[in-house]
Amino acid sequence: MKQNLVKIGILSVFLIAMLSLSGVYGHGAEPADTAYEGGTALIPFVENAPSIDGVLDQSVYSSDGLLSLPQIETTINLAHNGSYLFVLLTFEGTGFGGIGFKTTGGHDEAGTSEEEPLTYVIGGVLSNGTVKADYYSATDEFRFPALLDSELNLQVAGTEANDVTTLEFAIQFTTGNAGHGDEEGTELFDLGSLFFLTVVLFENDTAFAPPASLIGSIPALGLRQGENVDEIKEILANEANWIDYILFPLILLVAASATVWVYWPKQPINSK
Amino acid sequence: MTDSNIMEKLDEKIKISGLKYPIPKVANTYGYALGAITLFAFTIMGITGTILAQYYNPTPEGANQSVAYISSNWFLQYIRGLHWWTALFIPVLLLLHMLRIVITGSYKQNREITWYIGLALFLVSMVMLFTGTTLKYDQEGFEALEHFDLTGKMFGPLGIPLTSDLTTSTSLLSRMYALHISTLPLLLLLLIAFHLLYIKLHGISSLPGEEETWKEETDITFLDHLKVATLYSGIFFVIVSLFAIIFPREAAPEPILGVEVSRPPWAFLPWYPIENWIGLLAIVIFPAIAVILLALIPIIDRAESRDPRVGSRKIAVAIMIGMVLFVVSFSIWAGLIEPESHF
Repeated sequence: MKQNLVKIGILSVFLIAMLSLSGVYGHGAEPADTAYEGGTALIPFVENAPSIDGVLDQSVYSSDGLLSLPQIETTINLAHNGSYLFVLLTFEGTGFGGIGFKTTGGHDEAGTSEEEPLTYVIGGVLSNGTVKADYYSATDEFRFPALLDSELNLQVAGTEANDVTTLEFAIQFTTGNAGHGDEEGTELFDLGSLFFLTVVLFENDTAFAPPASLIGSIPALGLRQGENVDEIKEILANEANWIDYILFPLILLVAASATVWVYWPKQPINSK
Repeated sequence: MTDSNIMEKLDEKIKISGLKYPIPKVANTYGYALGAITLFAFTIMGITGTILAQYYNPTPEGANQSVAYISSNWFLQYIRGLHWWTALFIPVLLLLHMLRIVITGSYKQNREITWYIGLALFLVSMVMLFTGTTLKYDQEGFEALEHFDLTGKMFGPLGIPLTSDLTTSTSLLSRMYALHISTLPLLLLLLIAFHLLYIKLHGISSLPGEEETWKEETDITFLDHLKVATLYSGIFFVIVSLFAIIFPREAAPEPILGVEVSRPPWAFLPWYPIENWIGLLAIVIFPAIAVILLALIPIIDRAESRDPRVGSRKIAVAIMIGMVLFVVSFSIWAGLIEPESHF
């Protein structure tokens, strides 16, 4: 028995030593709202709910192809430090023929079907303040790096690198020659659509891209973040139900008690 | 040819009579049928899982919608309910099975290998349950996936194979699906085969104190045990069917990224309060401690007797009962506290 206790002691010390050496031990004790370092993490932005909803209720007709669309401007206080910040813009609506983004190197066009929401991850910021624009479309296969160089104006402010505290951004939509091929300046735009602007922070110090596994869920994020986040939280929080935390534990408790009662020896036994 | 002759001819081919070897009388009680019921539960999981796989889309873009499709059809919803509730009952069955084995000291008398294979089965079952919860890709499933991803990243380069950083060629969800329907079931089948093999080689254990006498007293065979196990399995099927009908699995909304507001299914609830306490580390520490304690049981328990009231047997029994009480109490506790973010 004494030898066994010694073995258990050695195993315990070994386990704790391994965990300490691996650096795991410290991370777990960090405050829940602090991003741990290294790797990729999704950092919630619920504290200040940095989403902006609105309606772009206008049809825009351009005869010269250079008509400006409404500009979205805002300043967001950042709750966390992080390596990358992605700004998500989601359009939902009908009569949506296409959005054109003027680019430095030509033109590109992305459109959506009448019913299908369209989400763009339209920009990112590095934690050291460097702005790096990029573009991902989650609802189709488009992926045009640096598409928004000339339109997206992202500015970050912080006391030092890795301490981004505010983000000011303005999105200037310009029609450019979006549309079809070389028919510059002749495209009709109809933006009678809702838009949702959402800011999501990714901590990722290896690649400027949201994890592949998450790209597919960005539409859901964009749309639902545009709703009332607190309300959604409340609904989801109520999903914990009595079957999970009352019924199953009680089934286990009753059945375990019965098992002990049935198989516990009722009289002295002489076994080997 | 008479009926009896036909049966004899048939038996010569399929050797049913080979199952008519004597076993202890106690083997036909409910506690000794728990392993067989669990095996039956795995069979339900295999069959219902195969059906669900015909309709499930294992991509982040399509997973939630395909689950919604499954839930929109009454038959598929029932199948999904069977799959879900059976999965949640399996930890109950396994814990009860282990509890009975510890109380009767059935891991003794050279049966330690069966205990350790069973422990591996327990682990694989829990990993299967976990991977399964991520596949539904609702808020709870997505948060589970994020927890898995973040936990893997805590281990630096060693954890990369478990994380989304491994590759951008496919999603973590798809990789979970691959694990859930291929690697883990194969491992499970292999372990079950060895578990059953060693039960056959060592024989079903008798009650403590009846090691020498049970053969003289028994009048039942393994074939009788199979009949009783079938009866208990039928009762189990009725119970999970009732759960599937009374508590149907409805489709849940698409997940929201970056928030943590849901609680895990009951089998993972016990470490939820601990996670609030020490953070994501709980996901690693809690199962590790549980496995180490369960693995230590045959090592600690070196008593000659299988009587649970003597010597080091008491420590083994205390560990097992303590674990059950811990699961019960912490599950209830987890349901009463507010969800917290662990990211």
